[in-house]
Amino acid sequence: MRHELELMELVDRYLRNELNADERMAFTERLHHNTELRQLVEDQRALHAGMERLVLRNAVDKAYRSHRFGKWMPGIGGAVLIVLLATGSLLMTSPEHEQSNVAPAKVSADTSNVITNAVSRNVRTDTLQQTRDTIVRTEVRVVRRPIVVYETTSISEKEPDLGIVTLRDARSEELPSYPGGFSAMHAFLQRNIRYPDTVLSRTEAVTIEFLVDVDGSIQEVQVTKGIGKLFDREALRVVGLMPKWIPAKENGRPVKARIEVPIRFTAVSVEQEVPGSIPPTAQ
Amino acid sequence: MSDVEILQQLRSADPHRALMRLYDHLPKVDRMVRRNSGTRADAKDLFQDALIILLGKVKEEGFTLTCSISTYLFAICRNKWQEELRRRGRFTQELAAAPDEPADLAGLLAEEGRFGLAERALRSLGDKCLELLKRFYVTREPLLQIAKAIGLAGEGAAKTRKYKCLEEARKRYRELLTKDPVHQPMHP
Repeated sequence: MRHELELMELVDRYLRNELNADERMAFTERLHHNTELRQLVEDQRALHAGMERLVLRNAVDKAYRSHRFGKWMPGIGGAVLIVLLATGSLLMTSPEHEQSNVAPAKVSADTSNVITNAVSRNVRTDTLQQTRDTIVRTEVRVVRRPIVVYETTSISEKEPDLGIVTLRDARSEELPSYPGGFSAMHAFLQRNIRYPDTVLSRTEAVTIEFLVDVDGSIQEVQVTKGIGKLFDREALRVVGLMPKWIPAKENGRPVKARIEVPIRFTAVSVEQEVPGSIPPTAQ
Repeated sequence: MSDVEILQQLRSADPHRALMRLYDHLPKVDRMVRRNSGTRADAKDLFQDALIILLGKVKEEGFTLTCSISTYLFAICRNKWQEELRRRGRFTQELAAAPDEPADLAGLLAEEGRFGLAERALRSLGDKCLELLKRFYVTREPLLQIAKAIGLAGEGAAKTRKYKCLEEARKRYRELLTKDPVHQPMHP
């Protein structure tokens, strides 16, 4: 092995242009007569280049995510921002105002629409269109059960289970957060989700809602929008595996918060599953 | 951003923004691939490979572009897709080339194809190996420093480890090479 090791060192130095003139001449001479050595040089050159490509690929992937982000941001980003602002302003409304009539006066039709979207599950639709009083009650519910919507989108059509990226990094101190931030959650989901043994005809998201308690523990996990038993069950399973979150804070004090996380499963076409097709990025 | 500016940025230490802009050319490749029995994912892989090739190329001394960046990227994708269709054993008509497509891509692509296989072989190694090889070949750190960074006893240990990792990578690379009908093993 010693000999091979030394030989490989020599080839490395040759490829990196680290040989002095004499060494270089001797090496080229050997190369000329020795097919095996030529092969070794070729292979090692390819591996050097492969290593460079591996690093470049990371840069290219990163740019792809930013590119996608930029494309979606103006549309969805704006909507998410409004929802977050609406939720935020409601968080500031303290429970004492529950019976007061001051708050509803400020609620414009537009805002209440947004609120409606955010809390649609808590309020029956038919009551929403009604009187101000109803809207007041709506608000109170929100104060008790703040909902934070994390918008996510697929980043990769290739790997069905890879696809979640944040469109709005919820770094605010007020919101509950996954330890390590959104990218950590993304990585966690990526690691743990197993694509069920069935195929979706189009990309869809299972929406999971859960409560982050004051100690960060996850409770009351439920599917609020399912796309099929196998996918729902897998999404529930993975959320159940998550470590403790960092609880939401109100005036610096941890509070309970309910959040919603869409977990997106990407459609796979049969063609992509054919083994032997080139997946240059395959692990 | 003009082509010249993009090329400048690609050569710089931070090509991120330029790469982002280049993804604007992805839809064209996507259309070409999906019209010819491919999927979106195929198109994305192909395009990313083209970006990697371009990124590597611009850093070479004396590299000049004889056409627009868009044409260059599309030409690489077109050639590679043609090759892939042949590999999948599908009967295909020739995919139409742009009139100003560079003619000398064949050699480049054959070489890049092998590099791609090498990349796959490397990717299948353990994290520690990758870390070591990356530090050695890409960031070019001295062996002693690498040994410290990844928790090896010393320079000698790092050297032995490097040998083992590279030897394993070479073995896997050779396997991929023999399995791949397009890139037959080189006989230099």
